[in-house]
Amino acid sequence: MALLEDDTKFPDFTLRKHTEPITSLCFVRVPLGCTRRLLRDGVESSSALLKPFLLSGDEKGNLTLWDLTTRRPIKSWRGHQGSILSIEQLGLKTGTIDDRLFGLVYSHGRDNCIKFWRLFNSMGNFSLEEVYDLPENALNFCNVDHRGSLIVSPNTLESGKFDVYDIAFLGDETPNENRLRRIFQGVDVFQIAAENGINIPEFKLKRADDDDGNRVDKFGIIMRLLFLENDQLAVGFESGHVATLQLSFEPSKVQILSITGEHFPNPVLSLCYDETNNMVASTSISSHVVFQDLATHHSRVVKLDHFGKIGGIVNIDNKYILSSWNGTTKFMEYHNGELQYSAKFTKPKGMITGDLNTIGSLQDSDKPLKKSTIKPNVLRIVDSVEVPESIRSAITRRDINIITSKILALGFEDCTIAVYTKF
Amino acid sequence: MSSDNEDKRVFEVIRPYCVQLSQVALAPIGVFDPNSSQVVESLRELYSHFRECVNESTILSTNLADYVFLPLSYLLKQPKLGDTATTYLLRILGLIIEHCWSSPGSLPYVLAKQLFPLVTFLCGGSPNPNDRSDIVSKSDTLKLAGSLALEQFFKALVVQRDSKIYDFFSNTETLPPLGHAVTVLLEFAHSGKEVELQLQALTTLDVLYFDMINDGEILSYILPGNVSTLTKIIAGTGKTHYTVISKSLMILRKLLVLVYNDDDLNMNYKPVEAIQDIFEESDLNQIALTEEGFRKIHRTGSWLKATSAQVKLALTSVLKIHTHQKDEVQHALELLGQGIINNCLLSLNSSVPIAVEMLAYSSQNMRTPVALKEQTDPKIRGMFQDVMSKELNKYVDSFESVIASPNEDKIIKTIGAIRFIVKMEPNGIAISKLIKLCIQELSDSLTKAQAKTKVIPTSSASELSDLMLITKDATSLEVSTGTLNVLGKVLTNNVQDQLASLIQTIGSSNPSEIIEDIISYSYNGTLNERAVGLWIINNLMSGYKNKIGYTSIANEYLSLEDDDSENQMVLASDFVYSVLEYSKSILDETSEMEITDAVVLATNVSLDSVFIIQSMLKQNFRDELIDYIYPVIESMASPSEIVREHALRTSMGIAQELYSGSLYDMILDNADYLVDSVSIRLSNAMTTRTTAILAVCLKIAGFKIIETFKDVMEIMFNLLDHYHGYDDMCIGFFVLFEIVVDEISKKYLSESGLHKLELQDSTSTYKPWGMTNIMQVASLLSKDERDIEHLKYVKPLEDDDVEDEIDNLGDSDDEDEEPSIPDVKKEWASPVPEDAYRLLQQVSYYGERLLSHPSTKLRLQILRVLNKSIVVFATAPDNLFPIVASIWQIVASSVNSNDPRVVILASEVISKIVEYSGTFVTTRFLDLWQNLKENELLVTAAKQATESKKIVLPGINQSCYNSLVEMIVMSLNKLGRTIPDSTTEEMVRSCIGVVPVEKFDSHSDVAWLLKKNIYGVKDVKHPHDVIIDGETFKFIEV
Repeated sequence: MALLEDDTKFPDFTLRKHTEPITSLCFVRVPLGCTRRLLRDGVESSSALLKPFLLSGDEKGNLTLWDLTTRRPIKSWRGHQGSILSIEQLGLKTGTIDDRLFGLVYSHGRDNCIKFWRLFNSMGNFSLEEVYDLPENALNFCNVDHRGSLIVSPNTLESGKFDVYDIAFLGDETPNENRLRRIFQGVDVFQIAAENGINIPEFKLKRADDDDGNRVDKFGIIMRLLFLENDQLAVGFESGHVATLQLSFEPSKVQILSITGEHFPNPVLSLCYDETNNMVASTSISSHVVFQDLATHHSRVVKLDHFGKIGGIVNIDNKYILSSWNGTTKFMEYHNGELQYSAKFTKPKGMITGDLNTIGSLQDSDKPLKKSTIKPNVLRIVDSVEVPESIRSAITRRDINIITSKILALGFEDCTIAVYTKF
Repeated sequence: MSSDNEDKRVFEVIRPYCVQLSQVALAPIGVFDPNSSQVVESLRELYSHFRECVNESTILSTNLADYVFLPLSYLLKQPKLGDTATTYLLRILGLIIEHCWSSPGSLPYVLAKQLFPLVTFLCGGSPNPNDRSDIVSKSDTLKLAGSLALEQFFKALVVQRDSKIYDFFSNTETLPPLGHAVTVLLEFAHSGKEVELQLQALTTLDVLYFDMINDGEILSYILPGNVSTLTKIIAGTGKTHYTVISKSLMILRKLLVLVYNDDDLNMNYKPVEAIQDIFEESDLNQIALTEEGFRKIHRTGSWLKATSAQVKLALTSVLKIHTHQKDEVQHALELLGQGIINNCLLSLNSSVPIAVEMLAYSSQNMRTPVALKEQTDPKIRGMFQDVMSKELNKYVDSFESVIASPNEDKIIKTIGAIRFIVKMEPNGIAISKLIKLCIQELSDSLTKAQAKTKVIPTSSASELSDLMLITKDATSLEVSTGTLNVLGKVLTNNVQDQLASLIQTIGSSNPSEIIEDIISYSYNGTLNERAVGLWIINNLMSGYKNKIGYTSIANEYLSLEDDDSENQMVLASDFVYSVLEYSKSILDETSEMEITDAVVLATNVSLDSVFIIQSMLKQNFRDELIDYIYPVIESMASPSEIVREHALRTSMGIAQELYSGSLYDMILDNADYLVDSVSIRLSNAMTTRTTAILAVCLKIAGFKIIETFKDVMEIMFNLLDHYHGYDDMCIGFFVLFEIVVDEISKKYLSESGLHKLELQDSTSTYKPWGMTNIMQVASLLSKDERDIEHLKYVKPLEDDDVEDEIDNLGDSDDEDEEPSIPDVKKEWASPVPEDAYRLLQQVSYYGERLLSHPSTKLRLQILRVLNKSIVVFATAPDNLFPIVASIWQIVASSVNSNDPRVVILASEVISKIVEYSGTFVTTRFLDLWQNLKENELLVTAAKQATESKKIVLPGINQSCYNSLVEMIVMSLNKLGRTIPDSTTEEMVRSCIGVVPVEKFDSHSDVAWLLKKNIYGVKDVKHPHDVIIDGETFKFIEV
């Protein structure tokens, strides 16, 4: 049984509050002073010590903010009318406060909305009050991402294209939504590639013996969006292609840096940016991981045997954590282009289930073999922060533990969130 | 000042007696009989009358003294005087001195000079160092009178000196008689047979030395004799009265302090600075009195060297009485030690260790803290510390053998001595050594003791029930508030208390270093070593807590000012977290271990740690509940009663501080932490007591908590998948499942809910038509007028609907269209939410699988769960049937089990199923009956009913039969006409013996008939007016 295998790595604790499957997670960094009045007046907010909280969203659009120290929810509210696809915090750069947008988080739901929430009120208490609502296309399951004040999302009408907005106005004292700017609209990567004569070998190969006249050689809908450094963007498509793009402004222009079709024809499921090795890692329904070097634009395929559909990938330093739709989460180390397995986790469940489908359960004889693991839907990681010796005495021991830990959170189908603080 | 009136009054009284005495005294030498009764009588009368007319404050003139003294002087001129006469004479003298010569100027120097040797001679004979027969021959009464007279005399001298008239002993000519008097008095004190005499002699000496002389230099001459005699009195072999001993100790102390006073002697101290010094001096440290400009004649350096060695020898003897029972002696000894250390640290340097020992032994009960002078000179302080350290090391070295000794007194004395020194001069190295010794010795003896006992008193039955106490009123719980004895196996209570007290003393100064040291020392040790280590830590913390008070620890977190003292406090209490973690590691380890003495001990000590720390951290402990609530609550379900006692105390401690004493609130508030801890344990397949914890959470927090721990339930199901061979685990799970069902029922099937359920119930074959009167029957039969308006039935699912559903499953993300999946799923009408329902369903399916388990206990538990679940399932009839279809077979086969306990429960489940599923199970029930009718019990019962008209079955079989009968009656009534008549008859026959006819409802006619056949008509009352489905039928006998 999976439970007792030696290479199993159990979470440090589990957060239980949601009653719907977890679909999105985000670590929200908040200055300690905001919650505990630890920092005295005059401390510059930019140098404030930030403690990670966890913001989780579920299939019914409920959001919950967790204090990782007490492992308890601070606030729960219904944010969206549909499943929550992404949650992100604005105004942060590599763990420190970046600009005026700090204090805002946004959530993106299948109710076609990106909602912006203000984390705290003027008293410094968590309030999570809605400040703005940006209509958006959420017909598929693609996420939205941001860098600075730029937000990238699938195009409002066509799911194969993307838009980029500038939401800098939200940092103003009184936000005026007329200042919302759509910098890029309906960017079609396939079209740009065609215009620039970029060769996409997979489609040619396919064309040779494909008689289906209805087939359109396109990348299909956008599956994942990921902002990289220096206004670069990675886009994962339904076709399995991952494109890296260079955005430039005034005039707005999109330049293709590379396109890799290693996942073809399997849809891309997850993207992550490996800062240490300057590359983008992508996963798809096939069980392999593609590493795209951003400097050389070479890509490298790592096949993982018997791992199923890799639904999620995150990385920190040289550690990679991958989750499969078959219920397994694997902890791996990246070394010289290879992923070395170190541990895994599966969340067990009973093989026999209750079933309210009165028709199905009567056919007891040929029940399909039920899975005995619970699927991880989403994973998220946050880096540790050093706590200067000078202020240690003013912070509780448990807060220090949280701040100085690298934390991994896994959101599961069974409404729970597993949290690792040591891995 | 004497008053003339007083003089006159006294004179009037005593004059006749003086005259009478003079007459006797003036008798010529040849005629005078020193032993004649006349002499004695005259003296006695004079004395008694004189004494009667004076009181303490009477002051008389010297004239009167002369008048009285005159006859006495005649007597003294006689060559010999009897003992009794001398006694009275001394007494009269005493009165004269006290009342006439005690005012300033009333005692001229010349008179005093004559009087002193006279009195001494009268009671002590002439000075003769080689022959004491003179003294010995005299009576104690005489000696007592002499001592008293001398005391009065010395007091009078003090008055003269204080009024600056003369200082008697500053004249060297007084020294020889002084020497004689001292010898005499010491002799009295030493060999006096009467305690009164000894005490008086000592009192007189006291007055002489410290009121009168009070000069170290003079006393230094007579010191050696005093020291040796006093030592003999104190440490002599005879049974000396304790008051005499303590008085002697007092005088010895005063003497030494006066003669060897460091300041007086101008002592100085120079620590060794060069190797050269060591060669030059035999002593390592140089202590000397400064002789330059020194005005002492007698007390020189060489004197000091010679006498201090003698003093040391004497004190060594004196120390022997440290075992003396009397507090007064202990106290005097303590003062002696204290006096030496405070005043003679340098001069009597060699005796200091003995003084320290005196204090160590005598300060056991710590009536008053020993007051030692703070040494300002760091060098001297250093030297004293060295002495203390050496002493400490000595005790610590002996501790190993002492602790193992069977002599409780000895252990306690040694512990007390160590405690004293530690309190005075904590020495890290020695303490650390001591603690390691303790850990080693105690854990060794524990291991030995544990090897002897095999049986641990446990009461495992209470695993759950005890914990369930929490859900009730907490005030009824008995919590022991005192310290709980944990080392009872190897130490007596008294020794344990003393040792604890010693360690607390050590802990009263910041113990963080020692604690960290113990943790790292014992970390990889055996369980006993860690337990003893933690026990020591607990006492260290208690000591620390008592010293600084908990408030300061608690406050340091509230105020966040950066001042240094606060930071120090934070650092000082940092160790509590290390200890917490340490105790948790032990608790984690022991929770899965089989109960042994060692496990119980380690668990208890760890729980005590948590108790102490929570009492230190107070509100701040709330943050720690995250990790510590679980082990504490879990221990409350321990099979060991002692562990439960400790756990309860700790839990109550936490609840008192954080939840105003309510365990209930504490668990309610922390159910999430408990559940998470359970899930971690279950994930590691550690199942001991986890279900008990969940059960308590569930009981307290109600069913809504299940929503959050569904994943934990899944882990349990997963464990059942893999480890169903482990009976205990499975039983534990199903006990929990039973509580789950209870809570679901409690929450969703309120009274009204259940009531409603029964109304909806429509199992009679006649009922679906809803006919209530004959007109309806008529209309039903008449096809044209068939009235179906008020007939309720559920529209059956159309095939199309299902196909639509299947078609639509794939393409739910059609873009523009609003997804139009027809709602085939009927609206969920049950008051029980789908999730809860599905969970119970899952439980039932697992129950179904495990009903074939070999463990009867498990099967019984599963049946209990099923029995309670059916009612819940019945709230959604559509879902009830598949479940019934699934579980029927195995439950039905259990009805035919050989074990009556299983049969009872299984038949109850079948009753419930039939009750709620009605005719859905007719065929199944008939199948069951085919087997059941062969059942031995039923056959026997039917036979008995026929033969003896009475059914008597042995023991449990009776109740087994009863529940089978209940099941059959229930089924007969529910399934009604769907059961063939022949079968009905069989069934009724099987239970007619115990069931009244009326109970058979629609089959009562059959029952009546059968009963009539068996018992005869007369015995059976016909059930008139049977009501069937609302219609009343009357029986007509054919």
